[in-house]
Amino acid sequence: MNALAATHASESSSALFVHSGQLSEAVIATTSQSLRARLAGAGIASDRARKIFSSYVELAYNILHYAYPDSREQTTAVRNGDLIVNRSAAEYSVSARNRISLAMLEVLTARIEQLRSMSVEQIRFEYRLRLTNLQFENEQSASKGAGLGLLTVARNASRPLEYSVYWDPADQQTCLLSIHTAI
Amino acid sequence: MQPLTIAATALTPAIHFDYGARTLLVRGESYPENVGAFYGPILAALHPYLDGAAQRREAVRVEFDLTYINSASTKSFQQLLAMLDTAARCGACIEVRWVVDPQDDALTELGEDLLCDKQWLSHAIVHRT
Repeated sequence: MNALAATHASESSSALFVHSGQLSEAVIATTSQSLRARLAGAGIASDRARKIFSSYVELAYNILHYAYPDSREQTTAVRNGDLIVNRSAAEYSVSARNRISLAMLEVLTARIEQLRSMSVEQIRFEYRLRLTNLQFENEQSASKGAGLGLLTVARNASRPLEYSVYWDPADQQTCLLSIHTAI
Repeated sequence: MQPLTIAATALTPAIHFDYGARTLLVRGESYPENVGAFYGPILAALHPYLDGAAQRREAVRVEFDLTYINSASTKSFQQLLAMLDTAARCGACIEVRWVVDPQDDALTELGEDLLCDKQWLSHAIVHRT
């Protein structure tokens, strides 16, 4: 566990699952299966466990697709991030933290702000609309799921998504983005 | 035509398209990184079969028995169902069963959302026993 994850985990003594480090498709496969076993072992109601699992996978792919360095520029670069599933008295949460370029930060935070401003009904409506339009998209389209990932996380959430940005004054190109969702 | 059979992995479902028996089965979980790389060849293989099935006005049974589909994969399921609906419009008798755990609201809703605008194929949401 690196310093970032340690800091995050110490905020609550009830981290149910933590992954910190490299992410790849294979790592997502392995960690998601471990998370599922952990959720089953913790006796969490099946519908909630499914939502936690779903948000974990969507946020893990979000890191893989959007973390620094931008995948549009460096397709083979290793991407790192922290994924933490926490349990508090009232709710479960999934947090994802990764380094991100300032250009991509703008794209993702604009999207999260948009989702934060939407009601549950609006999120559901947009989800259905996007789903219907998916069949008309070009197979070679650069979009990865047409922005459905964060929309799915918002659908699973019990309240609006939250995010934090950590700046290093010496770094003019990247910062750390943390996305937090309660379930 | 030879059946198309692909074993399930942690990230991709089992595919068993038995063209002789006119049954198409997709079973498991779907959350690969590169959705197009997995489903593209499957859709390409299915296309000529469905063209023939439409011309012969065959009955084809299709079963989706999934336990998890991530957001990126939904695009491929939408494309697959749109292709099946087109075959039904062109003469095939397509019957789709969307099998879900009765407790799984997300996959039940996804099935309803994906199937609600398919006008030509017949479909049912079926609870897994």
